[in-house]
Amino acid sequence: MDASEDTIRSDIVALLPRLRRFALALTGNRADAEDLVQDTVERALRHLRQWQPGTRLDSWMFRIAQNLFIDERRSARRKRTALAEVAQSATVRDGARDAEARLTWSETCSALLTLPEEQRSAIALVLIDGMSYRDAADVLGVPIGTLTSRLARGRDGLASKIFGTMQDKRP
Amino acid sequence: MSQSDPDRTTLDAFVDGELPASEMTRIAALVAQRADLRDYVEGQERLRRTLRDSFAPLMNEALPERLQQSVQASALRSRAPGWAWRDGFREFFTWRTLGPAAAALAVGLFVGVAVDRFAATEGALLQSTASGQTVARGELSRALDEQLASTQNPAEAVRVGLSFRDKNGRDCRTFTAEGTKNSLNGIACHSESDWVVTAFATTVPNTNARAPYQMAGAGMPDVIRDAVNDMIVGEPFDASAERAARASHWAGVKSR
Repeated sequence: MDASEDTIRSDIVALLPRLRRFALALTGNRADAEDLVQDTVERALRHLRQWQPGTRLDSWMFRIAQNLFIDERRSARRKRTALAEVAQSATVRDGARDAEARLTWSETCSALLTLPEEQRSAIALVLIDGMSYRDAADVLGVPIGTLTSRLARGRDGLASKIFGTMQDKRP
Repeated sequence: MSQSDPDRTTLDAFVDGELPASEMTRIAALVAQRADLRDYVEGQERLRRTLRDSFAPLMNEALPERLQQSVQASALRSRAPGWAWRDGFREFFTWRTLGPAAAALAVGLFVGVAVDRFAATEGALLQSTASGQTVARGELSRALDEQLASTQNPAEAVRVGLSFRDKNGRDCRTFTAEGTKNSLNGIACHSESDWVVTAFATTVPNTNARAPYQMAGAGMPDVIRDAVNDMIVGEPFDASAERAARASHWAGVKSR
């Protein structure tokens, strides 16, 4: 392993918290999220030569995670786990509707899991991770217009879930 | 709603910091004047803040051993010299980008008016020109002209960050103008006699943040960091390159 490969490994370590947050937003539970991150890291390291130095490592890793999640979602086990956790968790606290909501990440995940998967990914990348539209569209492999319409629908769904009436304030 | 009103997509892009600087200024002015637009924008900023803040404790939580081991198949050794600036670059932004709980993004609302602490004495820090550009004014313009990142007082209300050469051959600098209620972060590139602001966002302190997340300065929004990544050619200036650029009045490739 050469020095630049070492550097990439340390860059991947630095990305782990963001990857875990993204994986949680997708899967809705900690065990599956950490499995997904581990699978992502292992796949990335196996295919490291496919990553082009000078391009964004984070976008490449997020894309791997997204693709793995899409593959994995077909697993009945994962779906059952996620749905079970949603059922166990209060969807969103009623008290969050008026004042500034202070949600835990698991409450946020519960709200996210009510969204269609493609909206959830868009929200996780742009609103939670803070990616630019261009980078998020690149991760998801969709045009920016598709991303922004998914974001708009996702925003409405989440606002309704978290704040109740926020989407009614649209001008 | 009149025909000139921004549509939903534009307002969302405004909240997400995805509009060009001149459009950000225009929408910020509209939002400042119109209660219906302001309600919508504030609601979307609140949603964004709520989502990000909910994950903040997790971001500070130790990672499971198995995840770290999956990366660290072997011990890390020294890094290649060619990567050094990228490491420094990342570290430069770390305290800012890791502070979403301390600095929730609230793009634009105060821009075009002023960052609060400058409002009374200095007026607006940004100004739209007739040609549609947004340029630095007042204390911001002075700091961009004169301050060196290597020697500036960390307590300065306006601080410069990275200085670099962009793809158009201009000398560009990142900056933070810190207020008590909001702070302005952005990138300005020297062109003719003005500093043209190519990207900016405001941050607001999160008063609900817990102590470990409270940072001395406002966070550098991801949108600014990403913009630098897109613009930069070569490495950011080191201290001597920064001094040389100032001596040549930030003339960019013309100074060669």
